[in-house]
Amino acid sequence: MSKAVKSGTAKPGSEVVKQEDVIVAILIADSFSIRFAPVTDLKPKALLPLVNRPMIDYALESLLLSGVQKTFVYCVAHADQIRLYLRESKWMRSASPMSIEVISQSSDDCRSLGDSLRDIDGKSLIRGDFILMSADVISNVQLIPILEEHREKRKTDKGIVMTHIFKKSFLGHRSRSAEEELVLAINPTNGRILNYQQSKNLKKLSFPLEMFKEHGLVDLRYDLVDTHISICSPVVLPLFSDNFDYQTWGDFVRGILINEEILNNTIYCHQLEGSYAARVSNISMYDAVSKDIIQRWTFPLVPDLNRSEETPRHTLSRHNVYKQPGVTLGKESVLEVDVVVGENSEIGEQTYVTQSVIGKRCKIGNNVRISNAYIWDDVIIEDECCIEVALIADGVCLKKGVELGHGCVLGPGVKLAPGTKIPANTRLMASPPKSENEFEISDEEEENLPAPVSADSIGYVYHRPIEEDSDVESLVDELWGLEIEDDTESEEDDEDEADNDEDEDHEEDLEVGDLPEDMNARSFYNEVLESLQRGYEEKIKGDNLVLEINSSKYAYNVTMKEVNMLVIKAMLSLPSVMTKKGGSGTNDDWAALRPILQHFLPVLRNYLKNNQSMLDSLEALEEYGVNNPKFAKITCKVLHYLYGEDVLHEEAILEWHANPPNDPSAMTTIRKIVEPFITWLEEAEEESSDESD
Amino acid sequence: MEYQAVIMAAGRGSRMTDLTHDRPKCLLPICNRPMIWFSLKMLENAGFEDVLVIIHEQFKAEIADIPNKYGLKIKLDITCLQKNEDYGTADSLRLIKDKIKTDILVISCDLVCDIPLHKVFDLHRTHQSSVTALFSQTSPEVMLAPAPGPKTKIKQERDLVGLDLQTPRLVFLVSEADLTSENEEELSIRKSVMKHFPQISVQGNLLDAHLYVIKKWVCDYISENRSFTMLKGEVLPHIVRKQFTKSPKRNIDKDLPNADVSVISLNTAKRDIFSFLVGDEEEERIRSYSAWNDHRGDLRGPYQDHAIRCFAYVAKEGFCLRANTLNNYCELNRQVIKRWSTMFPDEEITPPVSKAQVGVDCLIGENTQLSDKCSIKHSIIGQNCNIGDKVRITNCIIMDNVTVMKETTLQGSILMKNSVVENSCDIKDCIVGHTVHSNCKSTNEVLVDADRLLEI
Repeated sequence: MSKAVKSGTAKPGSEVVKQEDVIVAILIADSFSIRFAPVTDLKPKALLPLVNRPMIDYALESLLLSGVQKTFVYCVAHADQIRLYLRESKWMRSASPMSIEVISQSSDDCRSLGDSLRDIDGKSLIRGDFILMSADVISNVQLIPILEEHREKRKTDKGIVMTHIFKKSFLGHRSRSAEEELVLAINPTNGRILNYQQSKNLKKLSFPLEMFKEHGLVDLRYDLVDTHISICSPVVLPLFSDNFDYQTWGDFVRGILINEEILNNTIYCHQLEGSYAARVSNISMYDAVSKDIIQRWTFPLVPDLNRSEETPRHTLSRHNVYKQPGVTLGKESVLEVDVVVGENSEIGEQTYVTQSVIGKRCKIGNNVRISNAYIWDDVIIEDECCIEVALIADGVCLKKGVELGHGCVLGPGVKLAPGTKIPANTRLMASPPKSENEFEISDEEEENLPAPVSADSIGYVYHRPIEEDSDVESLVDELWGLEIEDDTESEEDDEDEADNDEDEDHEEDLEVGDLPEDMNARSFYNEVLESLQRGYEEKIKGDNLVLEINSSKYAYNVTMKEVNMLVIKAMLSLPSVMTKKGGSGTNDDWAALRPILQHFLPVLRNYLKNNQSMLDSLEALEEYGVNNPKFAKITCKVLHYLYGEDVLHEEAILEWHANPPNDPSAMTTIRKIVEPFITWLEEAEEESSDESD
Repeated sequence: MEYQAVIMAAGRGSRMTDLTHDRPKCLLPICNRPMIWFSLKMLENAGFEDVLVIIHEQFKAEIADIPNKYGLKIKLDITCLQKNEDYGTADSLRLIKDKIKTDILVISCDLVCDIPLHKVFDLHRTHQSSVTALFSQTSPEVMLAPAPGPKTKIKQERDLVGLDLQTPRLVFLVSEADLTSENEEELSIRKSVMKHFPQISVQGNLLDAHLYVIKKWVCDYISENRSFTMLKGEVLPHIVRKQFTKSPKRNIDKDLPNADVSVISLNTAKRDIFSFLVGDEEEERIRSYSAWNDHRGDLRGPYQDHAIRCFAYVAKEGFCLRANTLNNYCELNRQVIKRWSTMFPDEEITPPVSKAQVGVDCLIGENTQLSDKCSIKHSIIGQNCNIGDKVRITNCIIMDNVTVMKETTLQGSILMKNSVVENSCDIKDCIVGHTVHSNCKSTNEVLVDADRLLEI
């Protein structure tokens, strides 16, 4: 055995060299995400049609056009379907200039890009540099020159492990995926990546000073988009194997950059000039890439140059309207612009279609309006339906007069009864959601058992399993089809910073005494004060004020404790703020404060729900009293009033009183003032407990 | 008159250690000419006919005499600070605010550069820039040149300059020292800034020439805001940051109907930067008609719709160095003499008439006696000096009225005015300020009067 191996490696040395010369690509035919659910429940993402062609075709086509000679297709979910598809396709024929090998792995063993590369490393299939690409990437990039560039760089930098390909695309460009926002620091002289950050949820980006010191010249780029194509040195695979925590490409890059000094590994970036590359990472990107294909940015990967023999070519007419043979178009129907219609589809009369893709064998009735929709094969849409911004999977049937809201996704086999209206951003699937999964359904959920969206329909609302980043995803979904650039937020925080700036220099605010030091809390406080003042003057309902305060809370990211304390303080300071003078120290203060507190009782009740929040509010009361000695005199009255209104509970007050104050001076002032009230409380409690005994 | 020029010459030169003990920095000689001569010459070459100069009072006569002495036509309008007043550059600007009528060019007296100023002005003019700064690329060797005196760790003040790659906009400006002192060790940039400028080039090896072209309204803003003391340290970063603040212009329009009510509050309230901003309506209108834009990639108007904008002119070639540290001062002397004929073709230097061995890149002042057997290399010798027999001088700066007696070796040192080095000394990398007695051997020392040392 060992002999055989020895001879195998020693003798045909030429063969080894030869194998290294073969240009190899690894195509990962799984995105390890559920962005396309429920559509991908039954079909792998790689086989989803993108402008009437399975996605994987585009990836293989672009590898072939680049001159790749051998491709390993690595499949995880629904591997059998991909294998079957490829076996039947032109790719596996002996005449194909590119040989394909399918590797499959069960989804239990492989849950990420890292896992799959570790698996490939274990199989030791790769010896030389290779191209790593995801099967949902559409590109017309010539990869060989970049591979050559990678090899050239290795002559000067032995540690090069990867050249990753980026495309320049400015903010607001449709091919920028909202989910994958990144900031790169690049050395402009050689293209080395010095820092990589996903900036999606960041407001501030931080870069180590060391990097600037070391390199002198650093470009910070926010306009680059990850194409998910990389040229890798063979060492990439063992690096993944050595580091089990590398799950994604991002992990890998960060790991390499952190360990840069130890391992001396470097990653370079290649910026595309004039070629196209994008990844269909979510439905918004599906939309963007489809449009790019229709508008021919991806040339030669366009519908009318479709090389596959199974599907007849599309013919292209004006305004980017593509039709396959057998399409019938009814009287007065219009295919306006950027429309693709598949084989043997029928479109009825007076139907209007724009910027949409319609699959094969679809039947579309009369008076239907379709815009920005992706309709797959065998879909039936009856008369007077209205579809705007939607993805409709195979075999869906929409009866007469169905209306879909913006951004709906209908899974395969969904049937909607006549006149059904689906709200925006709904995802429907044909079978009710499985209840026998490992998460036991809680009592509350059992009440609303899954029901079809309307009578006589087959369509159940799909709920995405809650993930850590679920809010991020939902945001992306909502944005789909709506061309709104969410820029307001950034402008606002510009203002904030500028204002703070001002404050630092010349703050001469109204004397409130105990403004929180933290900038955020301070801004929050000001905002709350403003809301309350307006709320009181305009007699706004408590609930609305709560909403307003809560939104400020999120805007300034303050803790619940701070909210409780600051709301109380704001209320207490309201009389002096409104009259622009400090308290007089007399009972007049209480007369001024009482109606205010009364008005805000609902707000207080909302915030002071449990013991802890009450303690917070008492602490705030105390702090406010210490800082405003004039107010201190009426503390007792406030306390009594709030107790009387059941805002503050007896237990909380007693607990607060039992604990020593934060500020020792409070002992002599506030505590003394409230002493009578506390004694009264204690007596009352004794009495009540006596009674119960 | 489109621009007024201001020279800030009241700096103490605290980093020049003993050289500036009794002389202001602006009068220290570079190639036997007072430092401020270089600024004046540069302005004169750029076409300025007069210049505002801010100096300390006690040197007024001496400085006022400089144009006369060296044949400059430029007229000085001198503003004096009292002897012990220490004014920052922004304070100084506030002092002369009544004299400022137009946009100004502010330079520091320690700048020597041959970069054509009209290019900076062009940039300023083209983009209606609020503040335009000049940066030059420095070679690291220059920055690390050895200096005489005690060996200290050379701490260069480096700035991180963020420039937009599409336009020469100045996106941020932070000094490395600031970041390090705050113990952050990192640079943070708001994402909204990156949204406006998705391609930022961060340059760590640029030299800020402390040459700024400043709009009139910014000057007004500075004079109103007493909290500013320094241009470079405070005003510039502030203005650069303010670029991203949204102008509250629209609100003002809205408020107009109630103008009579708000007059009082306007007067009492602190005026914010935008109330100073004087826009050119004509230009705004032209821009609104024009399809021109300064950047690509988004739908924002020219200059990202920023009313305040700062630009940086980065000189790729040309010479530019500031004599703000001892190292740079020495280096400047060496570099300027090398480039003299190209930088100042109209200012001829008379070659020394002497039998002594004088190498290249040397400058010998008038009335200086060189004995026949001395050798001088890469050095500058002032006026009325006396250099004895068999003296070897390499890489030195010798100021006026210095006597060096025979058989002495001087290397990499600075000899201050009126100092004397007696026989057979061997002095290397020192600063000499008094009499050094015979047979003295010193390296990396400061040889000045003892009483002065006490003072320090």
